[in-house]
Amino acid sequence: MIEKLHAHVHGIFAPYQNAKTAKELEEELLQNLLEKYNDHKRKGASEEEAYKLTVDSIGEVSELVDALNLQYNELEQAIKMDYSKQRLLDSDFRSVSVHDGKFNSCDLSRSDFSHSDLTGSTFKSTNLSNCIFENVNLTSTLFKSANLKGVTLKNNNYNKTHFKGCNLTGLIFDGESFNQTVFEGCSLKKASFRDATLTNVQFRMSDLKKIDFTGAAMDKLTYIFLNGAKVDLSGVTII
Amino acid sequence: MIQRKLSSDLLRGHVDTMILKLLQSGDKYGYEISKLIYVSSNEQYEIKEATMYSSLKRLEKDGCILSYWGDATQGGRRKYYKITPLGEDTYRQNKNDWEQAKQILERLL
Repeated sequence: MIEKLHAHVHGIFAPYQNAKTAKELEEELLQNLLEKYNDHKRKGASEEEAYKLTVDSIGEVSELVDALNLQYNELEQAIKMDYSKQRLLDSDFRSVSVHDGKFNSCDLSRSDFSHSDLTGSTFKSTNLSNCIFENVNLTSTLFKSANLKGVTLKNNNYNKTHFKGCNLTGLIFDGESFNQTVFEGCSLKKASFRDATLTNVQFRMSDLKKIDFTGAAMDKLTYIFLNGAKVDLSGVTII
Repeated sequence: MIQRKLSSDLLRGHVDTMILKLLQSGDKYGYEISKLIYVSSNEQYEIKEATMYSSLKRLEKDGCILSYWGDATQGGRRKYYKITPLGEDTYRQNKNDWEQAKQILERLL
């Protein structure tokens, strides 16, 4: 019967296993129910009766889920998620909101971050090969020594995004808009920025050989800097 | 049966205040709270776990109570709840409101 009680409570929380608060509430509720079950038995109830009384005392599951959401929303806003040192290959991070999250030293190959908000998050020494970043908010996100090989980038917000010591060889940033983005010590060999818009973008100590800016638009400062680095800017418009 | 349901709905609106009152005499964990409510109501009101937790989580979010994990007992950990000064104020306010409402209802019903 105790096993059955475990299974019943677990079934209620099963859809919320990713949230820490759900696991905690599950543990808490289960502990209450086990004590309640034992009390019913002590008072002379049969195992079946005790089980039924205990399960009936849970009440409306929807009420429980509301209690969970109350906490979960708060958690998303307040707690910095730490996914460091984990193997999270093929993970689904779509539409998540992780402010100041830490994804350091973990393997996130082939994960999908589309429509997520990663403001202020750090990806240090993270394996992001073949990940998908579409419509992602990368404001103040730091990629340091991250493996970004084969990533798909589309329609992201690169406001103050910082790429440091990353190999971005051959990556396609076509049509993207960059604002105060920093590329520091990165290899951007053969990277493509066709039709991209660049405002106050810095390329510090980066390898810019054969980088493609055809059709790109950029502000004067970015232009002057790239021109000094002898980048081919023939197809560029100054804004 | 309809009678019972009604009274439970009436009581449900005051669960926050009941919990705040119980926590004034010391920190308590979930099952302890539900047992005390059952016993103190002369076994007339048995609070559902879901009702209690929606109240506990709301009170916690509003800063009226705090929670912490206690040591493991009987194989499991218990989470304890503690009332905050804000919770004490809220209790007094709710109790006052109830006294007023009670007077009004007694005249009207």
